[in-house]
Amino acid sequence: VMGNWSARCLALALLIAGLVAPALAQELSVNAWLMRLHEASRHKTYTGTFVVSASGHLASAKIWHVCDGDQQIERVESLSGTPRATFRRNDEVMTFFPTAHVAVSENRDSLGLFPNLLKSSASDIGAHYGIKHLGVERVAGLDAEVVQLQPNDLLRYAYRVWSDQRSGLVVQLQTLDTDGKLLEQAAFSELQLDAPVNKAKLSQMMDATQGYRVERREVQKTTPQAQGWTMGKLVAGFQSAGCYTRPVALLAGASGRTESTMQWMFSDGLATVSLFVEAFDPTRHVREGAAELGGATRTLTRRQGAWWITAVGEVPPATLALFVQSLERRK
Amino acid sequence: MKNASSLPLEERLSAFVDGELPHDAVARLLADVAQQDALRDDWHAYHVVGDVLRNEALAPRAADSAFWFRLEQRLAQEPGRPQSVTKPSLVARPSGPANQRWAWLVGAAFSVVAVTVSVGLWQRMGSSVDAELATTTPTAVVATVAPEATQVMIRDPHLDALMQAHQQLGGHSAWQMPSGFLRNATFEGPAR
Repeated sequence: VMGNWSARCLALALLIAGLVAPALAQELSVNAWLMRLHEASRHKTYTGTFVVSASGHLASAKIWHVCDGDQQIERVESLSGTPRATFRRNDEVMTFFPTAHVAVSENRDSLGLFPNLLKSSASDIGAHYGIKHLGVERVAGLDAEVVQLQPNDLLRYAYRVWSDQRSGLVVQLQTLDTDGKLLEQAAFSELQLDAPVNKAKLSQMMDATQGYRVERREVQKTTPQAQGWTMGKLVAGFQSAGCYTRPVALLAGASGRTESTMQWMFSDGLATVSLFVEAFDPTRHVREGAAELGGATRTLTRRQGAWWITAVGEVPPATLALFVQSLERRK
Repeated sequence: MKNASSLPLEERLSAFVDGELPHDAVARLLADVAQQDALRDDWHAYHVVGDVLRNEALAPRAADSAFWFRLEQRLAQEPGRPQSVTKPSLVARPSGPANQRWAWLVGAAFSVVAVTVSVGLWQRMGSSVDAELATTTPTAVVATVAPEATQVMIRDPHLDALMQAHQQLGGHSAWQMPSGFLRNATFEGPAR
């Protein structure tokens, strides 16, 4: 009887293993792997120094990140460039410019969207990027798993990611162009996981706007249809990720007019592209063509009749050109 | 600095503003300046530029951006724009045509354009705009020139504003939470 029992257990174990093994493999899908990274960044408390290098420029910042249940608070204190401190409490962002006594307040609802985006079948990042495990390397004192996300076409860049083996926290991220050349790198040069971070104090600092002129960057949700625009042909893998208007005075203001600029967002899950549409103004809109804004961010500007179109995104210039070409004015 | 007193008046004035004129040449310069109205205007212009570079409270605001756009366009049309502007000093400046002095001023204007990038229309004001930035920014701006391009690429405050708008709504990327947000908060971009 015992023998039968053991055999049954073994059979059951094999059956479970057979069922679980594909499930584990499934877990290594791009979406699941990204989800793990996302969760790690949300639930960990840490301090560290973050360094970004792009286009021959180095920028660094000191980071405090704390998570308490559903609330995350983050403080990013610049160590280079303009002195500034950026605070984020969930999707609420406040950037202080102490010398100018200006604080910029933003609401980034889209920060909360991502987990849902990953869970939905509509966002199949794996259809456009292959995942390749490259081994283990030490970064910021941690053993990190190195993974490369390689695009299946030339419309997007590749990413190489170092994530802490134990927590899944991303400690280094590189963006590589279509030839495999490094475009930019963001990494922790030093990281202290589970460091004591006083959440209440960070929250207080974020709200301490006395003596600052607070400026709000507000956007209104709209639809491209309502604005009279459509995409003749969607760029492969990119889906519409929302359309907004924002006062042009915030963007340009040269003419003092208050007409608004449309911003239509697209994403393939990793790369994002914004299409900005403004009424053409010959006094301000003088330079057409492509430009680099440092690192992986590219822009392409083109006049389309009475409109001035600017595409901005972390994609190759040819992809931006496709976006601009596909944008059509509805009759 | 040798023979400082024998240099053209404009160059001595520029050197004085840069803090590079020897002490013994200063009294002579001031006496000379007092006699010429045009030099007093230069003196004033240098200080306005210096003040704007060093103090964000005096930096232009959105209402001034039409001026900056016009300045930028004019600079783009200038045939003899400096290809590399280094630390503005008399030593670095060859005793060339009279308008050499303007090379510095144009360089400084480049700096102002670069500085207004952060002031721009988001009112993001450049703050640690100290003498060091004032001298190094022109180089950084020129460094953004594509080698094959005939037109100098100047940082465009409008494009910068669009990039910030792009980043503000950039939560549609899986990278935003692990590192994209930190990246954007850390990296200002070149030449700012």
